Amino acid sequence: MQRRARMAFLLGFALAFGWPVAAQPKPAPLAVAAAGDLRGTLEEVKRAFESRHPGTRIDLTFGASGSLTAQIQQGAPFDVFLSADAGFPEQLRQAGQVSPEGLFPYAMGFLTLWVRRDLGLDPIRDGLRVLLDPRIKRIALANPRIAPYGRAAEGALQQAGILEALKTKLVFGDNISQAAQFLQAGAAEAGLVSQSQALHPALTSIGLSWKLPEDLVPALRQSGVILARSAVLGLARAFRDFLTGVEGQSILARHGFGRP
Amino acid sequence: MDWEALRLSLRLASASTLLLLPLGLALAFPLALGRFRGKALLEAFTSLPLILPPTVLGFYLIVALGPRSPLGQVWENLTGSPLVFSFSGLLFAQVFTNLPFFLQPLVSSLGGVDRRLLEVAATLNSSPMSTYFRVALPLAWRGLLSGMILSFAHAIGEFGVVLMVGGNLPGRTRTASIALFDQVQSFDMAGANRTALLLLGFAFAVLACTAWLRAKERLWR
Amino acid sequence: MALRADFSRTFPKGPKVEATFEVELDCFSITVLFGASGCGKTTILRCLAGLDRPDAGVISADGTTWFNAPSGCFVPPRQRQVGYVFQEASLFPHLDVEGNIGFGVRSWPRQERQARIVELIQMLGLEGLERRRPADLSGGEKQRVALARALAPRPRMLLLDEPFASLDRPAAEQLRHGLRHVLQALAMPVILVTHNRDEALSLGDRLLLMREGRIRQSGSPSEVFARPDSREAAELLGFGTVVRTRVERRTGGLLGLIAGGVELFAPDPGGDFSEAYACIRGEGVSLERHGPATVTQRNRLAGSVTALHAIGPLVRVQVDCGFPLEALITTWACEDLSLAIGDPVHALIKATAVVVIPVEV
Repeated sequence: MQRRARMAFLLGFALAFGWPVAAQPKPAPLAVAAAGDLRGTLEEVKRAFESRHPGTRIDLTFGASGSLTAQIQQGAPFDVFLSADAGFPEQLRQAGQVSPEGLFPYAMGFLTLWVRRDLGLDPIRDGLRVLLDPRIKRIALANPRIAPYGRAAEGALQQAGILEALKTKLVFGDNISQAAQFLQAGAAEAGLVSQSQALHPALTSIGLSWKLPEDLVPALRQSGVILARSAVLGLARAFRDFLTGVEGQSILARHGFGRP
Repeated sequence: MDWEALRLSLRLASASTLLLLPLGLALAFPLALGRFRGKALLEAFTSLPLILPPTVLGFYLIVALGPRSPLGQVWENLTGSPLVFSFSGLLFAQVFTNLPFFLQPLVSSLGGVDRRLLEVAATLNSSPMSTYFRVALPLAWRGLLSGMILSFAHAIGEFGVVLMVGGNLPGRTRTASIALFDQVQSFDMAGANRTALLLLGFAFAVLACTAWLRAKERLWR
Repeated sequence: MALRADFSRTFPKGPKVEATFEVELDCFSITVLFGASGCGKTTILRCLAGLDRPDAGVISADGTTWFNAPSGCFVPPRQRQVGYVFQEASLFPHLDVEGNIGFGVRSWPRQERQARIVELIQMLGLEGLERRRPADLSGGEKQRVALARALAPRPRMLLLDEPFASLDRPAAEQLRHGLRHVLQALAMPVILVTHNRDEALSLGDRLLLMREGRIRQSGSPSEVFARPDSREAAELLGFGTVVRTRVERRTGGLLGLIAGGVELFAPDPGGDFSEAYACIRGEGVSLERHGPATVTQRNRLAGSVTALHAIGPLVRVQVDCGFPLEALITTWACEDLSLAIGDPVHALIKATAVVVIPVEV
C-alpha cells in the first residue's frame, strides 16, 4: 500500500519534472553549427547580432567540420553550418541539404604553427623545422579525416618534406579545438592550429606562433551554408548577412581571420 | 555555471529513470524469478550496455533511431522532427544504456528473497504476478531503490552515447557532462572546474546513499 | 469425495519417493506421515500441495485432476485450495499478524475479510497480537499465526510440515495439546508430517510409516506401533532393544530365540524363517534384584547394569544379559532397588512384549 503511494508520487514528480516540453526555449533560436576554430570568435558575433536584433537567440555548437557534416546528414536540426573549408558544405549541397542560395564564403582561415615558449625555440626564424627538434616530443593536430585544419596541417608537413620524420610525434585531436586544448594543457609541446586559436590569450601567454605562408599551405576558404530544412530561413539569412557584413567581418578580422 | 545544462541533465536522468521503472520491473520478474529456456540470453542482452564501448552503443543507437530507421521515420512523421539529436532521442538512448544499472541491484535483491515466502503466497491464492508485487518486490525494495539511484547517477554522467545520439545542442541535448567537455575546449577552465566539482559531489552523494542502503539491508536480515 | 494420490518423484541423484493413498475430503481426520528425516515425507506433502511436481502418476481431488503425468496436466497450488504450514512458519516479514492472516483472503469484501481474521485470531488465541511483526513473536505464536493464515481462505485440506520441529519442548507440547482440539472443529482432513514419535501417537487417527521414499505400513497408530513390520520400523518407533536372534525351537505358539547365549521366548508370528529380530520396548522390561524363579514372565534373564540415564520421571537402564537390553523404569523403582552400574539384576520380560520380525533371507 505504502509502495503504491510512493510510486504514484514519483510518477507524478517525473511527469512534472521530466517532460521534454519545457526543453523548448521561448523564441525559436537559430541553431548554428560551427567549426572549432570559430570558438571565441563566434560568441562575440552572437552577442553583437543578438543586441542588434533583440528577441532573437543564437545557439552555438562547435565541432569538427566533418563530424558536424555527418550529424547534419543524420538529421541534426541545425539552421546554419559554418565549416572550416568549402569541401564539406559542398558535400551537403550535392546531397540536397542546402538552401538554394548555396555556399557563402565568410572568412579565410590561416594555419599557424605554435610552440611552447619555455623551450627556447624560434618558430618565426626556423618555421616548420623547429618541429624536428628533440625537445618537441608531441605535436598536436586536428584529425585530418574530419577537420579541414588537420588536413591542411598534414599537407603542409608533407610539402615541407618532414611528415615522415614526424609521424611518431603526431597527436590528433578530435577537432581543432581539442588540438588547441592539448597545447594549453601541456599535453603537446607544439602544434598546428588556426590563427584565431593561436591568438587566444590562453595560448599567447605560454607560447610563440608563426603563421604559415601561402606557398606552404593555401589559406582555408571557410564557407557556410543555410540548411534547407531550417524553419527560420529569414533569421538564418539575416545572420549570414551580418556575418559577411561590415560588423561581422571586423570581429572576424580582430580574431585573425582574413576577408573571404 | 551552466544552469541550463544542469537542468537538462537532471531532467534527462529523472525522466529516463522513471521510464525505466515499468520496463525494469517487467524484465526483473522473469530474470529473478523465472525459469525458462533463453533466460541466459535475456540476461546477456540486458547487460550488454555495461560492457559495450559507448561509441559502439552510440553507433547502433543512431542506426536504430536515425532518420533512415523505421522507428526514426515513424517518429518524424508523428512529430515533424527527427528522433536523433533531440531530447526524446536521448531519452530512448538513456533508457537502453541505463537498463543494466537499474536491473542488476533489483534482480540481485529479488534473488535474495526467501523462496519459501513465494511458495507460501502460492498456496494462498496468489498468482505469480500478484506474488511478485505483494511479496517479492516489497521485500526487495532496497534493491529497487538502489537500481533507481544508480541508473539516475549514471544518466547524469553519461557522455559518449549522449554526444553521439544527441549532438551538442544547447538547451536540448547539451547535458552537464557535455557542457564540461565544451568548456574545456573553449579554454574556460574556471567554468569547467565548477561543473566538474558539482558532478563529482553528486557522484559522491550517490555512492554514499547506495552504501548506506546496502548496510541497512545487511542489518535487516 | 476423496483425495486420491498415486505418484512418484525421482531425484537427480537417484532416490525415488512414491506414495499411494487416499484421504476422505469432507470430514475431519488426521493422517500422520511418519518417518526419519530425509525419507521423503516432505516431498509427498509438497507434491500434494502443488509446490513440487511429481514425475509420474496421478493426483486427483473429488474427481478434479490436480496432476496427471501422461496428459501433462498440472494444477498450480493456488487453484488447489490446500492450506500449507511450513516447518518454520515462514511468515511475511513485511506484514503484521493481521496482514499475514489476511493475505489469502485479500480479495474478499472488506467486512467479510475483517470478520474472518477476527474469527481466526480468536480460534488460535492470538488476541492482542494483531499489530505485531513476525520478528516480535515467539516460536509458538508464529506457528499459530501460520496456521491461522493457512486456514483463512477455508481450504479443503490442511498440510502441516513438522509444525513443532522448530519449537522448544515446552512450546511444542503446549501447541500440540491445543492443536487437536482446534483441528477437530474443522471439517477437513489434515495431513501432518513428523519424525517425532510422541506427536504421531498423540495426534494421528491414521499413521503412514515411511522409509526410504516409500510408505511401508499404514494403520492406526497403536496398530503400527504394536506391530512394526521391519527392524528399521521398530527402531524408528522407538523400540529400545532390537537384537538379532536365531530360532532355536518352536513350541505351543511360542518361539525360542537365541541371542548372546541366552534364550528368549516370544509369540510365533508364523512363517518359515531361521533368524529374526527381537524388538522389546523399554516399558515392557521389569527389573528385580532377587526373587522367585517362578513368575508369569516367561523371560527371566540374569545380567548386570551397564548404564543409567535419567529422563524426567523415568530412568533408562541398560542391562547386559548376554545381549544389550534396555529397560525403562520409574525413578522411585530405581531408588527402591538402589541400582548402580555393575549391579547384578534380573530382567523380566513378558513374551507378549517381544515383537518378532523375521529376517528376510
